[in-house]
Amino acid sequence: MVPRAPAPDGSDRPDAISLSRWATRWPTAVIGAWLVLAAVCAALVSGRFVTRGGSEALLPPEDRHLADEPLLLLTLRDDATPEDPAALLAESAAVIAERLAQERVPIAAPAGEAAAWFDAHALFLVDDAALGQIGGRLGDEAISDAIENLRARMSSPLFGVSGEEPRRDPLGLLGHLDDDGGRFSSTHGPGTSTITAAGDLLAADGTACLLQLRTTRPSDAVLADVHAAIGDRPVVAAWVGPRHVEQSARALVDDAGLRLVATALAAIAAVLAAALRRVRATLAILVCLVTSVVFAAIALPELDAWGLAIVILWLGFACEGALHLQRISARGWPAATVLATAMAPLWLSPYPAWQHWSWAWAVLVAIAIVPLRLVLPAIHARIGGAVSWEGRGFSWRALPVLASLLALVCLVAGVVAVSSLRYRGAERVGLGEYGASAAQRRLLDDFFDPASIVRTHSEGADPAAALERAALDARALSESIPAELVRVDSPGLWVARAPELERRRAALLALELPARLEHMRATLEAKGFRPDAFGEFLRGAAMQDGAPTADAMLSGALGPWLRRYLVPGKPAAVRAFVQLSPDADVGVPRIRDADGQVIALHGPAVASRRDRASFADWLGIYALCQMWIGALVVWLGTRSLTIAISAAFSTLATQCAVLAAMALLRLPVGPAMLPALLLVGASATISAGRSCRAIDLDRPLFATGIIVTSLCQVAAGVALLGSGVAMWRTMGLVVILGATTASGVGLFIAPGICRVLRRVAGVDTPAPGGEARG
Amino acid sequence: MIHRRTWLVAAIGTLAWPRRGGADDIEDKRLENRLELWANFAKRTRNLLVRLTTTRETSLLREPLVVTGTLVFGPSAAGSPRLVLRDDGLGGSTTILDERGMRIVPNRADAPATIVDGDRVPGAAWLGARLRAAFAPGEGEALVADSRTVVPRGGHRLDLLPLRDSAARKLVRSVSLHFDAVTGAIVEILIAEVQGDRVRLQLADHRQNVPDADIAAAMAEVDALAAGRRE
Repeated sequence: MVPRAPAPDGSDRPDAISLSRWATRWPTAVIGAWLVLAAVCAALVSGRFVTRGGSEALLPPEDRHLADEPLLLLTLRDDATPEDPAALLAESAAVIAERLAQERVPIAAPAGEAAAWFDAHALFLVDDAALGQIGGRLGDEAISDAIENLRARMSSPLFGVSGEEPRRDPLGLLGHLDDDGGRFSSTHGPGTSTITAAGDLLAADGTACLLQLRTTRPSDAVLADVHAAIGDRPVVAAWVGPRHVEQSARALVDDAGLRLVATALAAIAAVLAAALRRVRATLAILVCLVTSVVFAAIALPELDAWGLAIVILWLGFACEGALHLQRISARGWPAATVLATAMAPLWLSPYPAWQHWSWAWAVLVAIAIVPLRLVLPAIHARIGGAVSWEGRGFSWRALPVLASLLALVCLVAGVVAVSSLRYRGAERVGLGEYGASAAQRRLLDDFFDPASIVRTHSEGADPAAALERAALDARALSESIPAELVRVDSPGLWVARAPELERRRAALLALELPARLEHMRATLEAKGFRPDAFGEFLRGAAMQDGAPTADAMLSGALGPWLRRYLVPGKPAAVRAFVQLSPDADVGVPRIRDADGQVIALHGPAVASRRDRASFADWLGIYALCQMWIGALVVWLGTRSLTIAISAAFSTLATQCAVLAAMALLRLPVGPAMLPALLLVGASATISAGRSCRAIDLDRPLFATGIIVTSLCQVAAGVALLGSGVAMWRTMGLVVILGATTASGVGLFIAPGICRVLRRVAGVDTPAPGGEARG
Repeated sequence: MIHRRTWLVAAIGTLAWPRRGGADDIEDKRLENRLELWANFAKRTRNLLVRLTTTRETSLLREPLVVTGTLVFGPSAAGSPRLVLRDDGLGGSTTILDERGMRIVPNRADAPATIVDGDRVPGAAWLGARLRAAFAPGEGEALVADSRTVVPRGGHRLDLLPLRDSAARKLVRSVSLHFDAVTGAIVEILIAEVQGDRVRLQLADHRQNVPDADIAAAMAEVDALAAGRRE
């Protein structure tokens, strides 16, 4: 390997637009203008820049949690030892409900009202098969036997704790409804929780109470009201669920943002210092990067947790602009273009955050390229310190056999790995210690996982019509319990539609209920019972409270609870909340309503399952798009089809190798990893284009430049890896693996593939000093 | 003034401290005595046959329900300890607590049995564990496990209450055990339920460690009663 002169950078052409020529011609003016602009931006940025959590930024808006319905968890203070924790929490929940009367909604139907509704209307609400069984239990002999058995069981000391409710159901008519697919969950909360008299959820051990609010006020203002209501009671109130995750993600961005940027810059500085061995050159690049950050903050004034990771990666990948040692084309624009368009395929994706970054990344790259290609040469022209690459290059030759072998290994490994990769959806973000509060753990352990809850809407001309439609939909949904659904929480299950009511009335007439109940009353009397003690049952069975119509529910005691489900507007809509089965391998349930239409489900779990089903296909589409764009840009820069195809092939080989490495390291793949995969693909395109071009033109290859470029990317990855936050750590690891692979693929595979393609096409060597036509 | 007040508070605190510690000591001593009295009888129990009178006071009935029967404690056919409370006559029921769980089996042959699921109803699990531990041999650890204890000054009584953070409190208020002052045998169990019912189990004619054949026969009778019973 003989040291050779560097490739021309094109600035020697007087007619060409060259940033570096402008920089060397008017260095003072360029630096002055840049400093003024940086100062103005720095002054403006502090007032404009806002941070967000972005915990649901990868979810389509219709599948995100309801932002105005936060969950509030009440727990006991560590030093509190109340005589009755459940009573204290219930009292605290009551004072909160009183203070936030317009904002607090019952998360479940209040236990007393729910029980009363079911007792009054059970015979209308059970299905036909259950009604047949009930009819069989209302014969004279069956009633006598049931009452005798009840009396026999009452002598057992365990009778009172057996779960029987003789006052509500002395004949055991409704006892089997709980086994009827969990359709009637009036008295059981999700998980092991129970429903309080006010409609909140109480943990099984009575030491935590979950409240639902519906509010558009800022979290801090609501929490201040909650604390004022609680007063000096030894109770702690904390947001849990999606709002807690979002707040944690935002706190993470606020706390770790500057630290992460500083870490990335320090790592990049270390790489540059070791590679360039010039203090002034390293500092100049760093200064350019820092000012780029200021400009970026002006151009993109909102930053969330995903955006912060992208910014860190941008710092590493932007160094490419400062180290354009080997150019794909004479003017050096293809590399910048490939990098700027790296995330463009994500414009096709269903992830809002990545759709945003598909173009925002190009803006960031443009922001970084200008200082690094205009200001950096100007600084060097003014204060010196430019690195001389004379003698650092060496001639490199293609290795067709080795390249073909390595490429084959990468492709096969990637194809095999794709099927074994674990998918991680966008509905959960790994925030590490930030997301793992004690209250959040209690929510997941004692109540439910909000990420597993999805919702559906039933529409109607008015609330009553919407509720009747919800009755139809809820019954259709309940058919899928327990195969696909765990629980259906819909007020529709509590009402009967008008046609069903008439049919049921006719069926109940045939049961001769008044006569049966009179016989039951007489039997109770004869066996020593007090019939009045069973008044709830006798009144309900006699249907003295009317039918369970939508109008009756809207105007009855359950009306306040319905606020949680009613969606204001025209047409009116009623929500149902559905808990999906925990098996994520099961796709999105396709449940059809009474009209045969598929009931649309929305929620993070649905988005995740839908995405999981098509993720592999779309990953291929994104990769193909990137390959096509990269190949086009390289072709436009080199006018060599073989180099363009080699660069595209290198992109694919790199991404396959990274996927294989991820499978080996058991790293999850999913939407969160897409930017990292595309960026390392772009890195491979660039390094492949450079090495192929150098060999094509028979010019020295600056392998050091390619490797330093990759090391800067690795430095950014290391900064993310060292953050300790799961969502960033995996991304950082993928970039480290990919950037390392990209430089190797560019050096060892791309030139060999290019040579193989030339042989296949019958073109052995490129035109000397000119463009090779593949 | 502030200086004097501080001293006064400190002095009161100093006086109160040993009294509080002393109260705890006395309570512990009483509990120790009760458990010692109970263990005096229980630790010798290999099996037990007792006459039983159950009284349930409930608002569902015009008069309290009074049923007589037999309490049997001993090994089941499988060899594990089993507690059986069997009412006399077809109008009553048999309560079985063993390794298979808890069941209430009406004595009428055609009546369905009720399975009491301790996993689903924490109150049932707690009460069942207390009843079994009350007749099983031991030093008392199992008897007072997962419970708060109250030892009234008069009589020979031990009250067991579910822990404050226990879900069992939703159903059971307390279980009071009355001991024979001489032998330590349990002569009465009073169960106070949260919904207001009170169940009194009065025990008499304790026959401890009867021949195994008698227990085996009683257990076989229970097995025959429960066999094939629909739930």
